[in-house]
Amino acid sequence: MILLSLFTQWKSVPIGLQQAFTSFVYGCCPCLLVGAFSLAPISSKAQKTEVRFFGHQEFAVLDLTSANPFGDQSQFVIGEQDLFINSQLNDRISFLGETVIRPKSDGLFEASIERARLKYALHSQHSIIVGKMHTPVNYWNDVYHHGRLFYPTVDRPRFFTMVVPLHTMGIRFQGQNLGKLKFGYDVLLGNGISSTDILDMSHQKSLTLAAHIKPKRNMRLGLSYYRDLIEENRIGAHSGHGSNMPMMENRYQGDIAYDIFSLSFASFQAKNEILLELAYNLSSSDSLGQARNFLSYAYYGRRLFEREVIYGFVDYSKISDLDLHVMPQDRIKFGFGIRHEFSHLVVAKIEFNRSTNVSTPAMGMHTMHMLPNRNNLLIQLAYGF
Amino acid sequence: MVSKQIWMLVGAFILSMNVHPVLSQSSSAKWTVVSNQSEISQLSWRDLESIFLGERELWKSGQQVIVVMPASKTPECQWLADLFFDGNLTSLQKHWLSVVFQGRSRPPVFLDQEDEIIRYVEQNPGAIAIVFSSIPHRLYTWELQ
Repeated sequence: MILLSLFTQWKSVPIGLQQAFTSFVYGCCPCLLVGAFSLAPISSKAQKTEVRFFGHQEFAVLDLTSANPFGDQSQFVIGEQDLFINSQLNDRISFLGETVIRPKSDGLFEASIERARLKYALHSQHSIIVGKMHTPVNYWNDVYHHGRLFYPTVDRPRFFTMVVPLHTMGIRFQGQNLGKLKFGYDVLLGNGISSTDILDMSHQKSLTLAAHIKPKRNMRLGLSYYRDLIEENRIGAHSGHGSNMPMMENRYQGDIAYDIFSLSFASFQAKNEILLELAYNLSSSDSLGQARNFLSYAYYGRRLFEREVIYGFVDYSKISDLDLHVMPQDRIKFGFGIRHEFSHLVVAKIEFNRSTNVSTPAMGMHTMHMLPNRNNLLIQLAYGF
Repeated sequence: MVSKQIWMLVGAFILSMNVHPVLSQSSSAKWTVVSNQSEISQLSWRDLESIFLGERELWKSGQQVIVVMPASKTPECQWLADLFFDGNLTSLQKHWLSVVFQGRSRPPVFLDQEDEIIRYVEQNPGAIAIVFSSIPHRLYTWELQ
């Protein structure tokens, strides 16, 4: 019924949106076909296909220059719209797909397949997963993906735009809920940061090793190690680092050996919520040697009433002056807000955050500009169904 | 080999106040685990909790674990939340939405009526549910350990 309604109004839709929607359909046609034939809950063959939709919208007051106490601009923003499909193909094989449409700065939209993976259950707690998936580098990336509905704050930590590889295409061995401490592990071999979803220029692959325990319900402590060789310092499809990299004409063109050690602790209990993410990144080039970067994110939330949580966070990033992959910076972002949970499907957040430089990085060929101080007031409505 | 006659193995699950204090505050209904997997006779409370949290994908037989639950609008779903989520129905819903979104668990089946639940379990190998109505007499009863 939704498609029929859209079809009858197609001519009134802006051309740019028409093109984006067409690209979206071509890009995820298999997913749509599976969703169109989704089965009713009762099935004698126990095959079940579930289609869900997640999204978010925002109102933002942005202060980009610190010159205007009332901010430089305000806008209503349509956020990512996320089509999520989950299908059980037989007793052991399942499919998960996540396709996102997001707005671009030029007013058009782009579609992206964020996850498309097949999972084979070897045993009750051990699986093999192949396809495109989020890297299990830390708790946030492994649990929240693109679901703003699940985010405790408005946006994800800054280190996702600098250091952490968001996705990869590859093969993953996973175990979960093993033993009394519910031990889990992930071994992921896949295309690296410099690759795309269809092309990796060498035999070199990224490796992610992760492990965690869940000593208590809704509590998780995890460690991970990520290793990659970023060939010619190329930006691929999986990094998300582009906005923090030097301009192409000034960018280092050699290979970068890349290691990330991560520690995550999450505890979301009835009254108190804690999330701590730490990352230690080694980024080595032939030109300047080894850069040592430190990134951290700390969140605390306190449930006031049944549906309201007040929260605060601190997000600190220290990128070394020797780093040639992303621009050096010593920056802190902190914020506080309140989250109202209308239900498990609709959440509203109001948040104020401020980003500022802690110190000034040394000027050099790879340092393009000082990031300005920023004050933001954000109101977000996240939903799923 | 599965014969035409559907054997349903029922774990009679009657909890005393000492085993699970929460239940003492809920109705005096009898709690019964229903499945066609013989394995449920070996289940402990911890195993049952693990299944209803979506932490287990396969039975020993190799069949997928299919968790069947009453729809959230029914009082039976609240009783299920009493069992595994400290009485918080929203926590039950959030938990399952989250683990399915992560890809770590298969989505449960939600059905409105208990007779639909029992019929679904009969027809789908690997399905498991907790029901609160009387047990059909042709079922086998097992006591959970």
